[in-house]
Amino acid sequence: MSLRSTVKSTVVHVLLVFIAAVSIAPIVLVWLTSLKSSAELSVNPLGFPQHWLFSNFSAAWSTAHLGQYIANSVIVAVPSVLITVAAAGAAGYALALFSFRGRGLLITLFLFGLSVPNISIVGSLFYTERSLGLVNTRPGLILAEVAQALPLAVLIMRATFRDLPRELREAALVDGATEFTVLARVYVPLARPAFVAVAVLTFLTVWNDYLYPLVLINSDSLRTIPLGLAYLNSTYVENVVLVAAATVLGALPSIVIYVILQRQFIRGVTEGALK
Amino acid sequence: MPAESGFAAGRARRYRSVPYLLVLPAIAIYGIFLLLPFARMMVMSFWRWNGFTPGFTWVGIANYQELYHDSSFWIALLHNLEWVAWAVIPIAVGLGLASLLSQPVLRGRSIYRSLFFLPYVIPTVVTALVWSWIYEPTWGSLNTILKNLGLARFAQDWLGNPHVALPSLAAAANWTGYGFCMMLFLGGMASIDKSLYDAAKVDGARAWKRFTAVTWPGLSNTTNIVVLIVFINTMKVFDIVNVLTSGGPANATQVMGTEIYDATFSNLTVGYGAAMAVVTSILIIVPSVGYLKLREARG
Repeated sequence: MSLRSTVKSTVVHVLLVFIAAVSIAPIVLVWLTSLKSSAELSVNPLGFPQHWLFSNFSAAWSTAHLGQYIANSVIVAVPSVLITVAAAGAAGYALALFSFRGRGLLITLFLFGLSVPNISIVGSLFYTERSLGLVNTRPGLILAEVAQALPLAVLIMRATFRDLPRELREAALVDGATEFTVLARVYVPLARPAFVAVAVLTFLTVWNDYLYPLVLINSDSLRTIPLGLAYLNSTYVENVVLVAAATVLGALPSIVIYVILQRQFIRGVTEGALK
Repeated sequence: MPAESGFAAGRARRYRSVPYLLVLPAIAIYGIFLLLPFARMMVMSFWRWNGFTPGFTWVGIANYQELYHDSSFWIALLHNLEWVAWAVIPIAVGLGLASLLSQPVLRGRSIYRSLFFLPYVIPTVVTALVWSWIYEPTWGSLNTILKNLGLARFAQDWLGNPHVALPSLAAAANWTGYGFCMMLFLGGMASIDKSLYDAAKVDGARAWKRFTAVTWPGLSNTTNIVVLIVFINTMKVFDIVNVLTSGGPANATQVMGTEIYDATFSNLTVGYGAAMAVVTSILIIVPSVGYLKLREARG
């Protein structure tokens, strides 16, 4: 390598390392905070803790109900993902491979949903759910989250099925397969990467959502992680280290899922936005 | 038409209800919990209601007239637009990062990519709390760093000073934004024909020239999409404001999202909140139509 290109590649790496540090420093900082005592935090806000204190985590887990909040998030997110994937898979399949009356209208309706801001409809969603007796219930939150996730999920699945060969269905039907077996045995396996991408995307979106739980949930026993963290922050104002420990635990599932299923998530995000 | 597809079409006619049954669960949930609330919002914007008593009062366009004369809503809208201006930074940074990381010779590019995208993945509430401790005036990281660098005169109450609170919130939000923009730009760059780069190299084009001659024109659609997504996300921002400042200090960080929330759930002026929500929806949906057209054009 010439000197010129060595210098250039060093400059590029310095720049990239700097931005990487910006990206993770705030996260590392919370970690460090969560391992300190309140007294130490006020004198040593930036450095490593002198004594690694793990008691904040146990306090966050039990006293601050974080275990409960995580369980609540799982109980809401898992059914939301399953319902979204199943409903979007079926709808996307129909919109891609069948021609039927109302198909164009349905596609337009789902496209429309992509641009409806959640903050605009959350008020009427609350009153709609209240008249259905669904406010402050898990089914109420799950259905709202599914409705929010569906437009993108349906459109991703439709685009996926549209790009698969149509002849497969026709050939299978000729061989005597039913519509259901064609979908389940032929197209679902072929579209598996897209299903996984939609599932990961939906899971993280539901898991991280704050607005819908804020409006639809009011008892502590049903609070999801984001809602619980915001509540802890306003309750334990004097105990920042405890809230920091809760924050570390609350962010951990999202980070773990991202690390494990990074490719699928990125695929979901980019396909959702660009395709 | 070949015989098979004629036969298949015959089967499809026999099972005419199949596509409807397949679409039914999705459209039912989506209809009841998204489309219906949207329609209800539009209807409610012509009524006055406190959210609890059974009686509604028809007020026609009075809510909209009130909104037109409500300076706090216009100020909130201006705050959204100021926030949009700040959001140009993550778009530019994201584009720069994507151009660097799209070079196949760069070592460690997948690690960089993962790290840059990480802030986008964590819950917004976590982002908000993390930044509340960075901005904390006495022991917060930002002021501590400034003091250690001998720049104590710049240290301040970042979220408590009305002049800097909004840019501080935007900075916290932008921290999650550049990785997201980078990811979309990388997606766009992946679909640029590689032979164009080879041709440019043969012609002796340097890196910057290759960017302006090949990458930038090849990304035009992606760039439009990124700008529109960032615009939409910024116009509907709520979470980070609600957790960090709730619109304060002295309404310096009120945005349309917090105004709608306050009107609907704190002041119990549900009809007025719905009118705000309608206006906000229009401000977001109209540019979105352009976005969706681009999206479809891209295939």
